[in-house]
Amino acid sequence: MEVLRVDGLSVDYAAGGGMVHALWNVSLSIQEGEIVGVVGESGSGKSTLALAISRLLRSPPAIQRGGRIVFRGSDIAQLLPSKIDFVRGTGIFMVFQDPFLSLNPLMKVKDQIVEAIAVRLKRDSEPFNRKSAEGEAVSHLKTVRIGDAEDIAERYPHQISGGQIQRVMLAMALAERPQLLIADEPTTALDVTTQSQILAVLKDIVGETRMGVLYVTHDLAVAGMICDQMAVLYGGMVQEAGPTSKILFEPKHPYTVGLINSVPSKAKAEGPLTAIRGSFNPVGLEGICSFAPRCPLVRDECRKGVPAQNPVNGAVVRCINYGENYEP
Amino acid sequence: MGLLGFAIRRAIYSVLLVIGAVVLVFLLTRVAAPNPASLWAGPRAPPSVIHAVALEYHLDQPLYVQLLYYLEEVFTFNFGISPFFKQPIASLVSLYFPRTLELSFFAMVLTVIIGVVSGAFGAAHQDKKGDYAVRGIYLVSWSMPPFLVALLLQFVFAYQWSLLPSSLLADPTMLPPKVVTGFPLIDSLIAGDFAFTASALSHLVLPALALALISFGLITRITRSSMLESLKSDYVRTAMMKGVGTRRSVYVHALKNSLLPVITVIALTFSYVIAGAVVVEEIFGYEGMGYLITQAVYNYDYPTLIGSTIVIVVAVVIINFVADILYAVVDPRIRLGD
Amino acid sequence: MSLVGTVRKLASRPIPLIGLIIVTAFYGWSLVEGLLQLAGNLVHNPSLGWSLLQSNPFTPSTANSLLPPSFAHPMGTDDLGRDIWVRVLYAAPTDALVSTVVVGGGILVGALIGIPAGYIGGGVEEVNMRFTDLFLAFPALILAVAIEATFGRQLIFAILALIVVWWPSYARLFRAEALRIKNLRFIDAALLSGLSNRAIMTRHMIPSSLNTIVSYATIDLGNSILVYSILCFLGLGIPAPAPEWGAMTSLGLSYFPQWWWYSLLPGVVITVVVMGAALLGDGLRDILSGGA
Repeated sequence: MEVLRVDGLSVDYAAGGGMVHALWNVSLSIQEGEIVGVVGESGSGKSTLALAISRLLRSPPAIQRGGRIVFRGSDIAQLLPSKIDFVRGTGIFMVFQDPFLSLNPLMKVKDQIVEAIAVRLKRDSEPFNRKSAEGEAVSHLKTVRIGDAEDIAERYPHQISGGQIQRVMLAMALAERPQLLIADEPTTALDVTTQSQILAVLKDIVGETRMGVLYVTHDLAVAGMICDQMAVLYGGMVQEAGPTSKILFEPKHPYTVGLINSVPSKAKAEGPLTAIRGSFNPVGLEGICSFAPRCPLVRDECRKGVPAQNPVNGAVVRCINYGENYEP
Repeated sequence: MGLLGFAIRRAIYSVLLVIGAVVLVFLLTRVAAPNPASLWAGPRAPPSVIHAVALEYHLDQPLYVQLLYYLEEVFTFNFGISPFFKQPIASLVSLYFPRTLELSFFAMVLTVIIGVVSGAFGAAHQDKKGDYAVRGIYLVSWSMPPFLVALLLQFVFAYQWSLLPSSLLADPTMLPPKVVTGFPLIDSLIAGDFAFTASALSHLVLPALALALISFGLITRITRSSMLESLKSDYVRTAMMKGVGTRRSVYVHALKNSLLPVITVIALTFSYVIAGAVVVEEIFGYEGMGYLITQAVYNYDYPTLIGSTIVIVVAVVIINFVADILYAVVDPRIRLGD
Repeated sequence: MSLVGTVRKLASRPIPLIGLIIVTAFYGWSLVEGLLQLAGNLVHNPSLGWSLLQSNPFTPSTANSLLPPSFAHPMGTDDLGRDIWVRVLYAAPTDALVSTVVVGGGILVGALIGIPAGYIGGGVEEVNMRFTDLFLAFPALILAVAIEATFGRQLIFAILALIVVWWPSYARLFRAEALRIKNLRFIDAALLSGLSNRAIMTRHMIPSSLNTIVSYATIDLGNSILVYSILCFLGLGIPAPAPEWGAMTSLGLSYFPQWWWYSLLPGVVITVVVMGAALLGDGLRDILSGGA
């Protein structure tokens, strides 16, 4: 069952007197129980995508230009902010990048999870009982494998670590039983050990609840660890998308190839690290392939228009080298 | 360590601050004139009286001895005799200060309510007409000298419209209640004299309002900027994401956090209110500390002025202490240490 | 930030512009009138002081006693028949003088105490800031009244008392600025180039704090006029018959509310000047903190 389908989503930002195309014609689909990764560097638009889908973008300055966000069969892109509430929390739940400010510093951990439980109970038209809600909160904390759950529940956010905060967020997600979980770089601010623990917890939750997950990250390796499908984002556009094994082991788009090659291998002396030359600059990319300025395989055709997505062997690639098709 | 340890540290600091302030006042009184005795004896005092006063205040002793006597007197609540009122200053203070405290209390309540509501309103309507209206109003009221505000209120509400009494503590034809605590409102409640309570309350309205109008601006500013910060914060975004709803996100999550800076400003505002009371009490004929101070100034009653100053400083330090404790109670990051 | 550039930016926005006009008018007039009064005293011809005014602010005229505002007397007359607007104008230089000296003095002392506290830190910071806290425990007005009552009821002591009350907030401000600037890169460069601590404090700390200080000080000009007017109201300013805004209000109290203009209108003038300073200060803060 398809939980989320994004169809041709475009978002602009009004910035410094002009318009920046943060997202352009982005499409993806997430099934029940599927973890879909969106990989991109700074400025690729991945956070904008996450916020757009969860309808948390501040608008202004963000403006949605077109496309649909179909959640469980209904397009929520056009819904007015006042009508969106029914989807929040129990429909789409989001875990943010910076754990330290995600929780209200003046409320105990358990009260914030209880708040989430209250939302779910209200939506299901069930009565709210404080005692049983608190009990449920503690059991969720145990499910996300937080040590000393009863103790942590009584603490305030500033008394627990970043990794624990992210687990609390996941516990809240369990409390609300969303169909879609969006994780916007949830482990970027954490150390590697904590990171792998959080990822393990996430996989467990997905296995149990069958919710769909959109996992946004800049770290290809992390995405490779848990995602079933992946989309590589660059310059606001999906450059390559497909099953994880295809993307990691048969990368086609020169950007994807560059990303994979730039990950240092275990061998000690492999010589200088390969990097993709240059850096992302949004200026001057109108009407051409956004990766052209940095691409090692660039040709004249790359600048004749914006390349269209070509289906290749189970994946899609937005590159002239796989078919000279352009977007209208 | 927790709250108790924090409170004890704060209390010690407050006591040290009071001692420091008393020493400062002491130095002030000894450093000015070549013959401080004449300051303490009051104007037009004959030489024999001046001499007697010099002995009484130990002015023949070395400075540090005088300081010790002074500290002892202050801490035993003995400020000497007022040359003008011809009574112990301590009893004057016990009569007049509670009245000012009552007035200040009501003024502070009004100030905080007006300030927080207008600040939240301004934040909710940021950069729109409502916001500009709020900023315009507090700019004007903040710029008005206390006597102007008091006179205007008196003019409109007491003289033009005869809505509220123009002066005094309470209806002068009523007998004041028996003194138990020294606070007129509380004493009248204890005595069951509700007519007096009502009268006293109605006489408090205009002066308290005058004080509130000149002081609320700071609280409005702090609340507004604090709300704007909170509304943009990540935890408000988390609350919205959870489906908690706009109303609860703003009034439970954002507002609670926004009130923290307001607490720190309350102590400062109390300082303004006490200072403003000196003028406002004069205009409304409200016989409190302001009355005592203005009388002391007009009649060159130096000891009463100094005694009043010390009492007021102690009150301000206590309020600061209470505000610090309140802040620690409300903010778990301070209370539990990080 | 050049002076001309700042003024131009100020003038482009309506609200700070109003503040600029009020403040310029007030200080401009006070400068001219003040110099005339000074000259008049020096050459023993006090009438120089009201040569620009329509009447003598001191001459009583019982026939004109307590007239309401009119074209002839824009603010009416007081109990002695003197034109109130003329007396307001005559009294303006005093307030202008007090505000500039008090704020200037406060900045000077505040810098002396606050900058070393922030820059050097440690024991110096503790001592200086505890000392500052001591003064801040006194409500401004109360301390000023106590000081002036002790030393004498003259203008010079009123000004000194106000400076004593004023410097603590600047000490805090300068300390905060010094802490902020201390961590900027160019201070490291200055230290490496062998500049002494004192030189760093004078040559770098002070200019870099100016932006914050200037806008705060401008608003403070108004605040000092407010407190000074209360001192005058209590009888602690220049003695009668010299006119003073706060004192005029006090004199007019016995004629309130029937002859309301006597007490009310000088207060309105104070409000306008204080507001002007606040508007200007706010505008300066917006401009100097990098918004255009």
